[in-house]
Amino acid sequence: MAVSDDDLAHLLRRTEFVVRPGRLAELKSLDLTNYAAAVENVLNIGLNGSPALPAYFQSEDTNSGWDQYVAACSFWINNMVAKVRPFQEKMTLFWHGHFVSAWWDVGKGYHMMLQTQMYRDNALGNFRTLTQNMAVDRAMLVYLSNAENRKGAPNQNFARELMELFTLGVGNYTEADVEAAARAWTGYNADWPEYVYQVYPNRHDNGLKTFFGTTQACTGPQIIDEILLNNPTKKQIAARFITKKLWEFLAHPNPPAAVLDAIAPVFANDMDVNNLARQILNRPEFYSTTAKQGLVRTPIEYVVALCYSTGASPDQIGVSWRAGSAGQEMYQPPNVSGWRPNAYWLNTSALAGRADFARSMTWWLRDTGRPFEDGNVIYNRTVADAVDYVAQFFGIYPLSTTTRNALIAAHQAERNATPWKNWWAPTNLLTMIMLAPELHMA
Amino acid sequence: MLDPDISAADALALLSMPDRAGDDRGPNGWTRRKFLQAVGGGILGGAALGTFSDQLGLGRVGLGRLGLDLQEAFAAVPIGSHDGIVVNIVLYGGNDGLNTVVPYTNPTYYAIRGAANGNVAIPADQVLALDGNFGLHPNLTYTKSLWDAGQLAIVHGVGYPNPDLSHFTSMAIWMSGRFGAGSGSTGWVGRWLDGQPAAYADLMAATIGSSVPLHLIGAVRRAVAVPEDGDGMFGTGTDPAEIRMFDGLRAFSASSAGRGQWHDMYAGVLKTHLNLAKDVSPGYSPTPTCDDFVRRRTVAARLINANLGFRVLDLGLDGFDTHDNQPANHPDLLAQLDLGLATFFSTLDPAYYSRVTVVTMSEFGRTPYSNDSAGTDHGTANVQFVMGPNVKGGHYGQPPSFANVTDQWDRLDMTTDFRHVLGTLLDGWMGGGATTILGGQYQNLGFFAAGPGDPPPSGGVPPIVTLPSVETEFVSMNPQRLFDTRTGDGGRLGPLGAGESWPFAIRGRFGVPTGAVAVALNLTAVDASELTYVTAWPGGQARPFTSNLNPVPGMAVPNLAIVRLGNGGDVNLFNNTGSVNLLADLVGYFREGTSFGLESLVPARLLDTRDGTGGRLGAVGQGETIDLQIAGQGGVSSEPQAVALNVTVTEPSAASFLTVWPSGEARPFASSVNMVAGQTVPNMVLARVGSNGMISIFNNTGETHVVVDVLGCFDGDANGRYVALSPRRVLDTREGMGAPLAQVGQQPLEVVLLGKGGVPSSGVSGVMLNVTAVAPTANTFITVYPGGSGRPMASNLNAVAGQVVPNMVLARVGPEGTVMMYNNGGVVDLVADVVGYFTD
Repeated sequence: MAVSDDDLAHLLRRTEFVVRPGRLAELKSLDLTNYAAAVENVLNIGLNGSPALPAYFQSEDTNSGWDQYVAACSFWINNMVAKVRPFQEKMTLFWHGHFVSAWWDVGKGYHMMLQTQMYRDNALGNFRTLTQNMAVDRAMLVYLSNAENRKGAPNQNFARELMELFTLGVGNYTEADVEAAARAWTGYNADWPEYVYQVYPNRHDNGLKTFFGTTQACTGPQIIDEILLNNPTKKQIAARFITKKLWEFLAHPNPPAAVLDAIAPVFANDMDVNNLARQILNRPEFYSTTAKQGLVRTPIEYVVALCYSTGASPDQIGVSWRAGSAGQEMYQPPNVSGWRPNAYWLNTSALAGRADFARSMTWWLRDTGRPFEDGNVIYNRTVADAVDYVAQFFGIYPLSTTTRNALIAAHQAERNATPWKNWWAPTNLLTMIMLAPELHMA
Repeated sequence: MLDPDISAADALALLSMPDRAGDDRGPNGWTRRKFLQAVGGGILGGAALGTFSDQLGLGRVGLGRLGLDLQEAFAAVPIGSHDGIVVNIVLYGGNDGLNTVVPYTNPTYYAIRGAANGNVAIPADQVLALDGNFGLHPNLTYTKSLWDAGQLAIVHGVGYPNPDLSHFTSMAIWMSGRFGAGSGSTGWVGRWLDGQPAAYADLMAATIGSSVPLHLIGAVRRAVAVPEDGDGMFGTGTDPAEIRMFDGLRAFSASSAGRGQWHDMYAGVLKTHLNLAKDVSPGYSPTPTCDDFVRRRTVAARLINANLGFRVLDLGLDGFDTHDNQPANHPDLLAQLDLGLATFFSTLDPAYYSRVTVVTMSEFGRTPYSNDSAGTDHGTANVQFVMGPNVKGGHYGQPPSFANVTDQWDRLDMTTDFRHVLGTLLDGWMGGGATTILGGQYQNLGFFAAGPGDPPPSGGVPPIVTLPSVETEFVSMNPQRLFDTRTGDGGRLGPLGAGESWPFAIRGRFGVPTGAVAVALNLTAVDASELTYVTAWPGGQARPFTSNLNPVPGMAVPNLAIVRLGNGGDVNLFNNTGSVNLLADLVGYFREGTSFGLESLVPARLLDTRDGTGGRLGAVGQGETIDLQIAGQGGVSSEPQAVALNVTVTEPSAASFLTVWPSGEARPFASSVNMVAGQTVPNMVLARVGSNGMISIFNNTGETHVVVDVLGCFDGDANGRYVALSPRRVLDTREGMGAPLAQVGQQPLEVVLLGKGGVPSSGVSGVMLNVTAVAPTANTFITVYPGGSGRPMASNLNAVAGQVVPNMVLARVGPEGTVMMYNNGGVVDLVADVVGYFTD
């Protein structure tokens, strides 16, 4: 089976947000008897280097937290647009939506930056390590209240979500397990105002806890080891839980059981995420029609596509304050369960949010003379050619017949209505193409 | 942004809705006119159109079943006279019912979460007591008024068997309305929608926000999502080029693109949005200027008022998952909920009162014990509110007992299955179908006194509406006469009798726009048959115990009244005893807006014809006009839009009136101050300033001295926005209200204004008060000035011994939120009613 151009484009769109012509050419030059070489190329995030988090994000901007938030939004989108191997950023987004904390809830922006940088540095690392790091991360300690979880009056928030949302899923643990885990995590705290992680032995409940039927004096980190390492049943459940979630993030909802059966046990052995991604991206099912048509671009991914095609910076289209109305406020998942795929994004008011991005981008393009300074560039083409020209600028190829016909008809109607060359016809064509369904599919 | 949290595995699968191939299920022509056209054409035969199942086999092969462009055939249907509307408020996170409806006489409640245990209990002396067992959280003041009006049903102990403590599963169960196998895929409102006629089911339910929660998702249909902020909403443009673009965007869904379901769904939803935008845009105008939740409530009410056919409106308030520091978070949430309820009912058109019920829900209650992060953890049984004019107020269901709560992880046992609440709603208010929708029998809890559209029960009154706070700007007008009961101008001939109320419509008339929130009237009472008082207050409200005028036989008593308009745009006037003629001149109105505000000043004297202050020495003669420089004087800016003045006439030689208007313009026929010979009369005047920075003052008859003090100026650089309130008495030295029970001598009385009578406790620069001096023992004047300032040479009120004299006062508050009231001679009782305030 030779790998098709369409397969490679799909792989790139799902892992690197957009199909960059240079990347496509690079993959096409590899051995295409199977997917392995292309996948290895995509996975090679080491080429990004490991730049440190910029200094501005390593402390609180006491003068203007909002400016810091705006900078943080731009920082991440720019990473997604410009990194040599953007899959690292895609995985950072995955962890951010999985091990959720939220900027405005946590209250200290730079803690969120430290957290997402930790996800970035461990994007394709070891899941056990990542989970342990996450548990004592300052933002998470505040977001899920473990900062205050102490002996005598344990707070169950973190313990519950650790199992329900982060590792096992509902139904794979009992209330007693939650209570035990909460007790085990007592004393792993962080205090106002800087919330530096600290273990307080006198706040820790040293007593015996019965967790998954075994009674011992567990510490917090040992709980994670129980789930992900020591308990053979739970380890498999956790592996399947994460495998399923990553498949749904990259391919489509509801993976076939055969895929999970094949991949999850392998992941359970070492919990190596790089290998998990490798397995997923090498599956033929990843290249099925179901997968290729299986995901809607999230608002952030849509913005990345726009910024990549146009060269606009995220701030120029107001990502920091517009993304929320499209349904995805950056660094602020709506709650600890993160975001949802597909239909979740497709409702009337969220689409109005995307339309606002498109409109804002339209004005910026006209102001900066992209992709054309002069409307004659459009008018000197036939209607159909003009449509194709703008569509190519946004990396949409090919347009579906339905969309293309609609665009041609609309642009023709515009030219008919105002036979003299007016400003609106090219302008509206830009907006329409940015709202074409093709640009909103992942 | 609001987001419902329903990550139960089934719910997740469901949001994906794999078998939804585009928007063909949805109507496209929303207007009533198109619907009627289609009906008139005999085309809509029945429910066989547009159901999703039709399309499964056919796929998207284009338009025109029945040879008709279906996209144009459907429309919303106006709300029928017996159609019930449900407004569903979801309190996301798990609301703490025990601190919402507080068992304040139960010692166990204080034992388990009082001072010894996290101190999250609400002190007994702070609750709003409903009876000897329960009280509402102190921030639920509007909710309490609903209870007092018999329009709040509290259902206790609501939950479901085998409670789940996960947000997502529990919320999925509540939203689904069923539990057990296969339950998590649709919600109770969604299944209700599934059973509605296809022709208009898609515009019957809406959520205000950007994602559609499970309870609004059916097997075939679901609610639309309407943004909470419609400012410049995409799709409302009217430019021809934009309209051509919108048509082009609609065509993306002309046929299936063959690129999968999500592509088609995107195209379909885009079209739905464009069609929806036009019809819901009235809901966003004027833009509500308030907090998110209150804004959603405003939009919800307006959407009902627009009569587009919405029968279910859903909105959420997030943040109830108070694991930590509940006392710092929970009260604010309840305050938002309460304000949202007040805003909703006051925005709602009274025509819908008997058709609207508001319901709260939350995925669970919380642990009875606190968790020593001064918070509570996920619980079980909870209280639920059902509110509205046709609700039979009271307690329902058995409050759960604390008998099984012995340690911090014990939770309350439920006593009322939530499906009974849903069933009562469905069958009692939403037209039926409870058994099918809920998949089982339920019990009618009986919290409706009457069906939708039936008159509220006898003794039931429309909700006591407290009008929401709206920041406004003042637009001054040249004075114009609104009414005069002596002549019949304005529609009423003849004095107001004892105990008589008279409504007068203002909004939309006399140049007062439909967006006006309050009006400034110069009210004058003449020909009083005995000492009485007159009250002006917003139409549609219960009459407050306040006064604006104190007419006395033989005198013309004027006073500026700043009155908030009621829902219907009217004001009410009431006379207490005897009979009295009333006349009113309109001098301006307040509308939502922020382009110019008021700067309230320390009062400064600008004119005193007795001593030449202001450049005029000597009384103003008959028919004489004098000009007074205002701009740049006394703290007034150089280009004020208008000023608030206190104008006092003293030693008038004859019955007369003064008119104050912008210098350089024609004198209007209106009076700013009325007098009789020998009477000293103060009145607040809101006057536009002429382009030369001056005002003109005209005296009609005889001669009189005139004193003018400036209290505030309106201009574009000032920050103070006016918030008109319903009048409330905050000071009465005759009763010890707001001050010690004692007459006031020459020692200035310090009065706290912040946090009283509807005035917030911070963010206030000045308060508009009607101050009345009651029967001073000597001729005197009263000066009101900010606490902490020196007393200025100015006066707000003048009274002769034994008189009762009111005047509107704009009082700038001092740094401690107080004002001083100084009485110059003898002793006097002072009364003050708050009618509004200026922000800072």
